[in-house]
Amino acid sequence: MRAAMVWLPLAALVLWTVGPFLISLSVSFKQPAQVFSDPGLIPAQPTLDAYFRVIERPGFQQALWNSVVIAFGSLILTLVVGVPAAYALARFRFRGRHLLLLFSLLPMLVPKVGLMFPLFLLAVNLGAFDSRIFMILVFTGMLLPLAVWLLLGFFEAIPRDLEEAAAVDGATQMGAIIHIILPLSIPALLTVAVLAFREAWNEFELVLALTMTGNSRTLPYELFLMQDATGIADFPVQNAFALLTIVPLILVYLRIERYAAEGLLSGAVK
Amino acid sequence: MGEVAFRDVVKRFDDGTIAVNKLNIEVADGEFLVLVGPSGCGKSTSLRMVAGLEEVSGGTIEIDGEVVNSFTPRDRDIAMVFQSYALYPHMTVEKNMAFPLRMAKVSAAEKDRRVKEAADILDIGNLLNRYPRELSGGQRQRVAMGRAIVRSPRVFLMDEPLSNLDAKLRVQMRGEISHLQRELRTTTLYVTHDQVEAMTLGDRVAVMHNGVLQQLASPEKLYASPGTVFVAGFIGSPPMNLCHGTVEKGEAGLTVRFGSMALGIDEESLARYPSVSGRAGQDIIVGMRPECFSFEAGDGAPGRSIRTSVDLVEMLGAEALVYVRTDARPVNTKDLVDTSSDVGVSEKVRANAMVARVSPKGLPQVGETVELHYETGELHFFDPVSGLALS
Repeated sequence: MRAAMVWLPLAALVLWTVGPFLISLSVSFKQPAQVFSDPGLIPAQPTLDAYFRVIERPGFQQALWNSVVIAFGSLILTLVVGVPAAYALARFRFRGRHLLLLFSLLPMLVPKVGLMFPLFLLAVNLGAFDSRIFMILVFTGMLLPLAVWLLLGFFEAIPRDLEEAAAVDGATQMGAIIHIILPLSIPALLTVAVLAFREAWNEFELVLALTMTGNSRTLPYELFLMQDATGIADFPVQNAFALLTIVPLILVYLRIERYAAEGLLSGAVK
Repeated sequence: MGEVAFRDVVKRFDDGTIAVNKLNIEVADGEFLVLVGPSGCGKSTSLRMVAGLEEVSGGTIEIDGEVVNSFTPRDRDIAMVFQSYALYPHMTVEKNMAFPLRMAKVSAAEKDRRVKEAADILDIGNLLNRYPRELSGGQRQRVAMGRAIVRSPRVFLMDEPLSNLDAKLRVQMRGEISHLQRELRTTTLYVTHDQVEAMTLGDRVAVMHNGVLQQLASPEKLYASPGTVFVAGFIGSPPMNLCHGTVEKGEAGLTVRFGSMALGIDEESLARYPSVSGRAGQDIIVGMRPECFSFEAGDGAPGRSIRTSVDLVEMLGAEALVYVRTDARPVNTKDLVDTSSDVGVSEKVRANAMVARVSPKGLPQVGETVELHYETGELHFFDPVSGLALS
């Protein structure tokens, strides 16, 4: 009885989250005509037809490449800027530190829709409209607050003794960061990287506002365009497209999981 | 080589507190010097200034005659063992020990050789491939030592290296550190709050209190003639009984009266504190070592014993601690260390009691009135205003 009280809500939750995904998966393996004629979860005649049609679409490959460039660019730049910023805020006590920390949260408080128009004007005036570099810069700006706060908490939890020991052992401050702090921060760095990648990969509104052509359009925008263009909804292709869009994310998650090992810090002190 | 000198060293923190005040110590090459004192006395700060982890606010610190105030830790050629050991958790024992050599760009072959050598000395050769989290406290302690000795630095700095170990292991490692230092003859600065550790390890011991060096002397000297009231109340276990008293001149010579009790001051004490003879009628702080009391009847001469009632008896096995009541005014405990935790007796009992360390035979009952004899040659006298030992 008690077990049921635990398991039933959990089962409902799983159904709630996994259900739509399964339906999407099912539809992507059907022919357009079968979507309604064969409502079963497992198609009678499964076909990869929809996937081939997605991959062959001229917009898909370009959008995939744009997504990869922008997502990796954003995550790398976020780490390159975020790690030193978080380290400085974690280790040094300077005037205005607290204010700076609060200020860094500001971008998170502004609704994204409110940023669309100013960013659009900025992009046009800078001649950076419809460019991947500009998208990377914008995404990095959006991601930094979260990255800095996450890393800050992690860096602060690393005992100072370790850096002092490294200093006495002959490491420069940079050496201590490279040899001690960063290797110990791998779980946090991966968390930030995954979050940054996901945000950049899934972002839609800003892509809509700041891009125009296939030069910089990412997958979510392409999916949106496709729904518009076909007139009659081609459900298998749409679902195949959506699933192909999340495959890289799933791959990233699967790779990361085993690195985010717990207790990496245990044994350092005491 | 490794001579360390503190010259008028001052450490002032940003909030204005002075952690170390005009510290002057010279440590000879190969010496084992222990800095001891209660927490917050400035001993760790002094050590960290030598390491370069703490800036020097005033004065100079010299290593081998060279002022190192502005040197970064890596330019000082020192090694440090931290209280927390500070082992790098993502590296194996071998990598941990090789880290200083790696930073010094020592060749791989040489690195292997020296790590192996250090591991052999510390008997941790079988642990080289383990991670710190897989080690026991004692093993981690050894690895931390190994990381320090692998580079053959000029000076070892040790910041309470044994305080995270349990009592039994602490005694064992204490012996090993002493042995190791004698073997390597590397100058060692060792910080501890434990006076037993200080006495057993140090060639010389520097007692610090409130950022001020109280006395710098060999353990024997520190025990036999403490330079200040603070040192007297810090060294020894249990520490010296201290109370206010007055010197009186009677027919039988000088006596010191404290509360309703009095002890004669004999030639031996006078020889060590000659100025006491000129202090008749004056206030004084008198100190009595617990181990100089006994229940054995002496020659029955007057002024060699005190009569009082027993407050508490603690049986320790080979000896016993007997707390007896006294109405003498105790020395303000703020000037002294709170050693009650060491002795296991509450502050309240200590405040109006004296402790005697006696043989466990024929112990009195609590509440019984007893006659305690004292070796009157072992009295100590201090100035009640300055707290300094009388000359």
